[in-house]
Amino acid sequence: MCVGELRMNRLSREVTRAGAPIVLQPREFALLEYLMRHSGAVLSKSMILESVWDYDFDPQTNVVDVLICRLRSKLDKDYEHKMLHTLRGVGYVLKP
Amino acid sequence: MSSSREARWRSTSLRLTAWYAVVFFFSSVLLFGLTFSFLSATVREQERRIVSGKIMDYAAIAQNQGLDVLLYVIRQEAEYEVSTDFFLRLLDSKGNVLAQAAPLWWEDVPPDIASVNLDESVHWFSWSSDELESELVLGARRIAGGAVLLVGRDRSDTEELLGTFQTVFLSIILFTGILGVIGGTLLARRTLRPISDLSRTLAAIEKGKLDARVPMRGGGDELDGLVRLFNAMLDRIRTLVTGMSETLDNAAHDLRTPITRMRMGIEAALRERDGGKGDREALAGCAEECERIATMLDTLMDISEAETGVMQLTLREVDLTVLVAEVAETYGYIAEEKGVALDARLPERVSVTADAGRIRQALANLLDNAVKYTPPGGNVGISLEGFPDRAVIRVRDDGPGIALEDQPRIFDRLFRCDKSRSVRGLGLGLSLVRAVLAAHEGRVEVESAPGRGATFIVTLPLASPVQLGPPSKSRCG
Repeated sequence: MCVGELRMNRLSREVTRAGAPIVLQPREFALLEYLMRHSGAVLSKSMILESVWDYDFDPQTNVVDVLICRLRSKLDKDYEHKMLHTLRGVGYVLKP
Repeated sequence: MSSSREARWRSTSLRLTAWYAVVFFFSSVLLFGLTFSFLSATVREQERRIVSGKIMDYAAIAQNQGLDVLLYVIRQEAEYEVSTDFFLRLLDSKGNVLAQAAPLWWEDVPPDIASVNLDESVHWFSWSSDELESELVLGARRIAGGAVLLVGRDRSDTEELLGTFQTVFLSIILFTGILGVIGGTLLARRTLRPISDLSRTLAAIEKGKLDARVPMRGGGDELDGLVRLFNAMLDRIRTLVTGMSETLDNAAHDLRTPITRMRMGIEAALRERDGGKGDREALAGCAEECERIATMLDTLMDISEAETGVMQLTLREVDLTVLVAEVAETYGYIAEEKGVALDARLPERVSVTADAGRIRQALANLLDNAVKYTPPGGNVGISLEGFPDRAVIRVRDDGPGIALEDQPRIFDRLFRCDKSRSVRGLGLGLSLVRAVLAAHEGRVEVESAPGRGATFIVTLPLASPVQLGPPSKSRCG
């Protein structure tokens, strides 16, 4: 699965950006997989909660924020071009 | 309204008193009436016995010694006025008076008073004159030689005796009447006291004094039982009302914060002239705040549903080990961000029949709290243990702990310890945990000492691993 420079091998669970490997924990991997599958679409917090965590409620501390934050630091920190965007009040989007 | 209730109570009391007094009075009237009639019958019987004794005596004289002797005796008596108590008259068979011995005031007794067909048994008559108040009881019979003997006796003694009795009885009846009223009043007051206490308490409560309680008398009777139930109900109502008003206060307070933020954002955007980026920013802020409000309302409704027993549980076999591991993993990230170590100790496999989503929500809330209140560098632990009949999950933290006096209240809706007010949260988490556990027939408890962290202990009834029938339907609703 490819989105821009980002490549994901779902069998070997390897992720690379522009050839550089990114080490992800299982939940981060699941989140990225969901974002990549719906790249370009704005995904709301509750949609993410439901498909990545199978939660149909909103935990008090925002676990989505926390995980997006971690994912962003692994994904975008070393690059000028940012792929993972936050749309305040709406949700998140992964753009190529 | 309270005065009409008072009046109604008074009239009940009055009615009770009246009933008691009337019943008491009429019973005594009946009793004394019966006694009096028995007494007067006896006295009259006695009177007639005396008269008929006299008649027998004179009849015996006539029988044994002849009518002339009797005539002589009577004349002697008349002459010497031997008897003033008795009236004596002897008549021949044709009704002519042969002899009469009587005090002056009885001389008017008509000669034909005993003109009916007389035989040798005693017939009774009575005579009274207008001048004299006394009455004469007369016995008449035919004696030897076809003559008629009339013997009378003054009844004034008897009447006087009976009159005395009557006076005594009447005054006793009057007295019992008064006693009846007093007794009735006492009885009514005594019987109605718990009720009047009850209505006084109700009146106090109506004026907003929710602490008012009906005093107990300790008699252990039905009314005491009622009072006990009533007080228990008042306690429950007070708890509910207090809880509700606190909930309302807190909900209003907590709703005001996001709404104020929204308004400030909107006002700021309106003041700006460019109309481009500021607007979007404000809208985004509004959306965030709306989400917060929606979350809060959702949680409140979840709790209400669970507490009133209408929460729909989707019960199925749940592997708690997996579920706890998932929740622990999720909060592992958050704990890591904060510099808190999260440690999960899980056994091989513990299964329960439960609503996975709800249990996950409850555990998430507990872990959320634990991480939130644990300072960076602290530890949070979650452990799961399986017992033959139950599963026990412990969530332990290094936080400030919970003051002893707050511990019973932390599961209340929107309750937040004063110290925790500064930490963001809705104050709904723990009450939802309790509500969800209650819906599962489980429970949640807390062990904590101030300054030494807190441990929440969740107990869930275990699903029998052997008995894996079709998933049971919702237990609620």
